[in-house]
Amino acid sequence: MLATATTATLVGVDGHVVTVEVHTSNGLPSFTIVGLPDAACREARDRVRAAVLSSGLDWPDSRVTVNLAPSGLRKGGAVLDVAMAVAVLAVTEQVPAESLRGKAFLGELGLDGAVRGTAGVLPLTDALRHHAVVVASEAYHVALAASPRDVHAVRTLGQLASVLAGRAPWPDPPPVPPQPPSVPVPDLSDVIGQPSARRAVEVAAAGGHHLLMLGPPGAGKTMLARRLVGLLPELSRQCAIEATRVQSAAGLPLPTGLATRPLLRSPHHTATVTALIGGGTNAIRPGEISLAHRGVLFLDELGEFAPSVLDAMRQPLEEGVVRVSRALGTCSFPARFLLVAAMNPCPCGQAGRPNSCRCSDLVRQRYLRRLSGPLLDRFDLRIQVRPPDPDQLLDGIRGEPTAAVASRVAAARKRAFCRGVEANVELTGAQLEQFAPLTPPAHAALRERLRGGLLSGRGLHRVRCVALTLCDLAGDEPPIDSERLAEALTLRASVGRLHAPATAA
Amino acid sequence: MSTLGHSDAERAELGALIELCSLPHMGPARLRALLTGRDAPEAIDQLRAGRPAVRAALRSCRGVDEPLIADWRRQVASAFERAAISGHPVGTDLLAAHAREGIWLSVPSRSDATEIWESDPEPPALLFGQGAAIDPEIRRVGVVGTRRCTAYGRTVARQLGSGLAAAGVAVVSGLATGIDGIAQRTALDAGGPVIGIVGSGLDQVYPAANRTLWADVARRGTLLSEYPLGRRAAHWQFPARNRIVAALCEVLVVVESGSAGGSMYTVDAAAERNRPVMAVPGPITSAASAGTNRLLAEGCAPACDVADVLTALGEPGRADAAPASFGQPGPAIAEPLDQRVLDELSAGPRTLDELTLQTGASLGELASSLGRLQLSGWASETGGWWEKAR
Repeated sequence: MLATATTATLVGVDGHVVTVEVHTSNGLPSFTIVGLPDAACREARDRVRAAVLSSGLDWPDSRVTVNLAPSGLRKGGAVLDVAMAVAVLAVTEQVPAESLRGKAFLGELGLDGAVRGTAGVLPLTDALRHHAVVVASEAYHVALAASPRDVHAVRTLGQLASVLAGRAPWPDPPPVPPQPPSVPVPDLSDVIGQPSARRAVEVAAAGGHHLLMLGPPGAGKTMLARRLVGLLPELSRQCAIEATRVQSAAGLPLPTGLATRPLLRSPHHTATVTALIGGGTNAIRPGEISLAHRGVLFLDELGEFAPSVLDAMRQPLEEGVVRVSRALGTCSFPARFLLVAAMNPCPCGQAGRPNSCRCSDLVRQRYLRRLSGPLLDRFDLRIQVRPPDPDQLLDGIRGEPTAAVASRVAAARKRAFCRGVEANVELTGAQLEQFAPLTPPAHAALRERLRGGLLSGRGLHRVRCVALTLCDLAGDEPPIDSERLAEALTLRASVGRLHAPATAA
Repeated sequence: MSTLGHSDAERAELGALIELCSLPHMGPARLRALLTGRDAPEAIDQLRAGRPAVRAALRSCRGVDEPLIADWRRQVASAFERAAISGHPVGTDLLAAHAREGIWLSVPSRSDATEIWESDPEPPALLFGQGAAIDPEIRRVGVVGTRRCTAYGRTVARQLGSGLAAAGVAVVSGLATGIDGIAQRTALDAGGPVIGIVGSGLDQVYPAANRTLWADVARRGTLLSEYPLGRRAAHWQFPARNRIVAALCEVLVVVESGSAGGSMYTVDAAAERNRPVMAVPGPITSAASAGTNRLLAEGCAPACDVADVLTALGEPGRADAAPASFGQPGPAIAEPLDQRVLDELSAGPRTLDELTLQTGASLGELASSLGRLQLSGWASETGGWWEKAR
């Protein structure tokens, strides 16, 4: 006797269709799973058997063999449980075999027969786009986001068996969950003073430019980073799906289905290369840079991260994808994120203020040397954040609120979208030539900088890109004048200067 | 100058001296104690034999104890063993190693520049040099100051360096970060003579950021050290180095210095040697000028331009060749905002944020203004802090 059911398994952030074949034959009663199951998948034996029995259904008194095809693909997790159970029900003729045709089953089983959601429902459903997908009711809205042919939500295996046997209709889909009690989004108006930091955060949000904040502890770097996320516009549907796929594959909670707000990820500085980039021993999992896809990756205390970890980010920063290769196979993860980093300029935090830093030159140099030049070069905006003046803290005028700045950011992003990109940071050199022409004085100023060796070729491109974002924020049309250019240059203050404070000027 | 062409007696003395210099923790005071009343070959023989007189002389120095003397005796004994195997006098291998690196040796008590050292209270026993020998015909001015200098100090150091170079006067300094290095770099770039005295072996560049400056001074000027090859920089070696700076200069100019700093050692050493000391006046609000302003209050001559320094040197005529005073007017300021920014900077270093709040200008306007001021040399920026540079 043979029956098959369709399901899918997760490799990286992509779903792969898996066919579950169940065969029963005479012999001592047993239950074997073949076809490269991992540990969690092999444990399905006990879960499936217990779930079938607790749902009041019969378990065959024969030799049961489950094959997971294609057998070359490593299957992980408990998501195949439901498919195995319904295939067993079909082979024992408790549900008609035809009822499984055109349907796919995703879900983990509890010993009491409850159907539970699992990680990766969005990419799995996406792989099963041509099937009617049956999922746990808690995963219904996530599955719906992949726009498959049809989605059904069930609570228990018994309920599913009744529907498949034709004894009951499909249960009603669960109601749209209420928005989770909104965490109060920190508002930009809480930032008092610090005009250049406010400006840099606005520009970073509008143009997607990576931001490095140098400043002593307590200057408000973390506060600024948290407010940056609030400035970003809602994700477009395409971006939301890309981001949700990764978050779903990593098992992050997705109460409302699609993640429409950009995510802020802030890993601690002890993070390893695998944690940040992706990888792992049993399965290749996305790292923090992919979880922050279309969102913000905030690295506080950048100087404390292991230099090898930071340098591993260079290629993904450039390409927007990371390809993780392991003996198990190779996975591509999307990794287009806004990098916001904060660090102290030196161990005592006072570097730069003439005659007040108490660190020796050597200590200061060693501290900054932890950041490689190529990584520093990726930051279009590098600003010094100073603690606000005590007078201002006490009776300062509060700055613009998030809403006002966010509307300018949204307008700037709309202009970028007309140029065919999500944000200006993605513009290529040729596109910049086309979209960001310079006025003659600005052209002359840039030439002078290049001649003086104050700007690299790559720096030139980035400065122009930031100047274009400044134009967008002001609602001006290019060409870019020298004032915007000067501001872009100021926002890209050279960190290298700190390497040799006395000989630089 | 070269170790070749010396008589056997001279070579034996140099060999013994270099061997003594190379002992660990050996400094000028200890060497002087060792060499008082005996010449170098005698001293090394007596140290090896552990004569009570030598031990007593060494024990009179601070920090010398019996274990250290025992260690030195072991080192000396092994040097003698090496010499016995090679069949050359002791120290020959060290002399050859220095000669290979193009380093010449000078015994100040017997050198061409005797007049510098004959009345010196603490002359070095042996000097290691690279580049040209010190020309007694060229006048020498010491330019020293703090490592943590401000934009003002940098400007003055540059103007002194180029002014003295134009007047054909050698700039004597310590090749350190800050004022020392800036004055010497500018003098070198202007084609002037430069004498650099360092506090470590000539192959141990410190600070490492000044590597090119060391190489350039060794090539186009004179690079001197009291220490043999391989000796790492140590804290106590810098004040000792500063006394050589003081001894070698005829006039000492302190550009910027906090009230307690290495430059103050140089000032004390110069006063001890009757070298005139001049100080550059600085803002009373600046910590980097606290020391120089105190020197002025104590009666030092102010150095307000290169001509003042040349007059103190007794060469006022050379001032014509030097560019005008430090306080020369800069290019005119056209924009009202630029003037407002400059007025703010006059009160001390400012961050961009402070300038934005104080001038009320937008970041773009301010950035343009600061760009103009930087290009015209009115302002400079270090690590996010803007300073008035003139």
